[in-house]
Amino acid sequence: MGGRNLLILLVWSAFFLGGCRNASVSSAPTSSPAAAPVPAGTSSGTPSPTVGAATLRWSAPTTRLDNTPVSLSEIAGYRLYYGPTATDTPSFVNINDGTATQYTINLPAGSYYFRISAIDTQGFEGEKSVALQKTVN
Amino acid sequence: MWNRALLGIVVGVFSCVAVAGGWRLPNGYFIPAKMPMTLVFPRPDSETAPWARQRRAYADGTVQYRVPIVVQGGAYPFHYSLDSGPSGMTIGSDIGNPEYGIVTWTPTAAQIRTAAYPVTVTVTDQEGHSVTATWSVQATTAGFVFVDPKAAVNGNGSKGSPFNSVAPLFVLHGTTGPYAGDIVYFRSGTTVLSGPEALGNVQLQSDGNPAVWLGYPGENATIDFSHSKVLVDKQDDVFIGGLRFVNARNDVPNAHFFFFNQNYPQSRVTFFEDRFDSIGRGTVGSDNPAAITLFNPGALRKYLAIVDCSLDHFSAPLVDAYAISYAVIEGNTLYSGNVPTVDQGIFLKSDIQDVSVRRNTSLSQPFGYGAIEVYQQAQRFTNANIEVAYNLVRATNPRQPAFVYEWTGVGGGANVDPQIYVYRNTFSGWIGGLDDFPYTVWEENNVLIDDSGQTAKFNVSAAGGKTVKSVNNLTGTSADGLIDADGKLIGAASQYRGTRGYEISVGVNPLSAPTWR
Repeated sequence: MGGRNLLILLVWSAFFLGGCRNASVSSAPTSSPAAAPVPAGTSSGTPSPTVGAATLRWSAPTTRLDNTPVSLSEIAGYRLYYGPTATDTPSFVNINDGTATQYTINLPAGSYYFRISAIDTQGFEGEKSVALQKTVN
Repeated sequence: MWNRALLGIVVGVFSCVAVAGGWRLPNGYFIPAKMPMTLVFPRPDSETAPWARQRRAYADGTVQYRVPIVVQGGAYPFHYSLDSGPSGMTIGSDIGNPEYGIVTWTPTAAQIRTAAYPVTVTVTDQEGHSVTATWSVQATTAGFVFVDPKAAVNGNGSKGSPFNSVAPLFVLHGTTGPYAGDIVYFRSGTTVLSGPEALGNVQLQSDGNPAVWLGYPGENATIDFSHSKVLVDKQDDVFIGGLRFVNARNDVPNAHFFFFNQNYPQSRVTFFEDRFDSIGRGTVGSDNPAAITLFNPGALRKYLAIVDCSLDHFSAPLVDAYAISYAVIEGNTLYSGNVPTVDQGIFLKSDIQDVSVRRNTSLSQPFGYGAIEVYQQAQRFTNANIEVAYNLVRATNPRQPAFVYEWTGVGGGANVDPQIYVYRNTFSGWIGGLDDFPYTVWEENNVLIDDSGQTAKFNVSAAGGKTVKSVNNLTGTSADGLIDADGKLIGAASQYRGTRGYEISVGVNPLSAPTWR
């Protein structure tokens, strides 16, 4: 993997660039908030949008899709997806802790939909949850 | 034109509830369906002729009945289940099984009976949608004719006394021969094809000649075409399986093994496990040579399957298609082309609707117009709903095109933004034609190894036409070491195995979803 255009992995990531001004900031109810992912192409000269926080809580899956039991030790972490609609959650953050049951994410103010999946110790991502709507302000 | 709302409605008609099982891939390891599942082969008895391949099995305990279940569209890979059938019939349920999607059965003489056996196969995709294939099969020894070039004297065409040539089989078009409606088995060795038509050709027309040709299971049956080709006129329910065809004649314009002419939209045509070897481009007029050419009859053919076939030593494509709908070109392999004269390997030329080009492999030298070319000529109709997925094009020179979009205004049809989906392919070579292609294309989760320096690739800004919707593609040059000689992702790129390119993860038993609280 040298110094050229080795991997151009195109990920939708810029949906939250527009709007979301004049929103207030809520206090994060839990510790360890994540920094908001920086969209590619963001200029350092652009005024920063108002940032709020959302805390998501979940329960770990107890089975695989074929209903065989799964233990917590088989879960390596989670992937938290978010986006503007229930069917459009193109951005994600990885949570590299299989024992985690909540996460706080900093985002520009606005309405977001979240989905979450578990990743097993083999690196395979599981089924995504249903979407959860939250308003960040 | 297809859209998601319509997809939901139509899928609802065919679907059943989602199935949780070990064959289900995690989200991200498959691409949601671009179009609904449509059963291409076998079609129900109510649509087919009595001689249709799936409806008759030779029952002496030694001859394997072998029928593929072919589905267009859907969220691949599929899961196949044999829900009902005669004793001893099986199907390969999941990808990785050598008999994946293939119904096999070796009926015994004791299973011969007057009534046909009903068979039901359910095919379920990764999103839980399904289609069901239902047909009946008769266990019998009637309605078969055998050809064995090794037979010392001409027999009577029975298994115990086969013909030693095809001379008794084929009659001039417009007449009905003694073996019309029979299934022909060719035994090992090389049978020379010759027919009663001009230039020694064989013509399949109006059910007058056998339209189902099979290689005897477990043997290497070869048919030499150096003196003849097969012309298909008004003939449905053509099935050509398990045969090796060699030496397409090159002394005529447009070399072919099989030419489906423009007089009739032949429906329910299947090529399965055939090997085509040695074909040039012919003499003059060499604009439509191919092992299988389907010319334009002015109406769309329905239900074409070219599955698990191969092409070797060629200067012409495996298939050159006009006017096809609900077609699947899947699991085929292109071996050594006769460079530099090879234009395409799989050529979708004009009036193409609802077609899946899936899991094909090109191991050939570079092509002038790509191992796969989607050529959006619209002679009579619009082109619509074309997916190119899970293909591996492993050119030895990634400076040449692996996949090409092309378009032309020739003809009386008109394209209406044809909906072309290119996903989960591994292409070694560049993507051609995007710079002036005027239609929307979707390119998702492909791997592209491109040494050409071309700028188009999956680059939206380089496309001169409408819109390229490009997401999650992985691109680099051969120097980057992203794939090995088999096209598999390696090194740092191996993290994308099963989510980018042609590789399909097998045996993954994904975690259920976390629940919000």
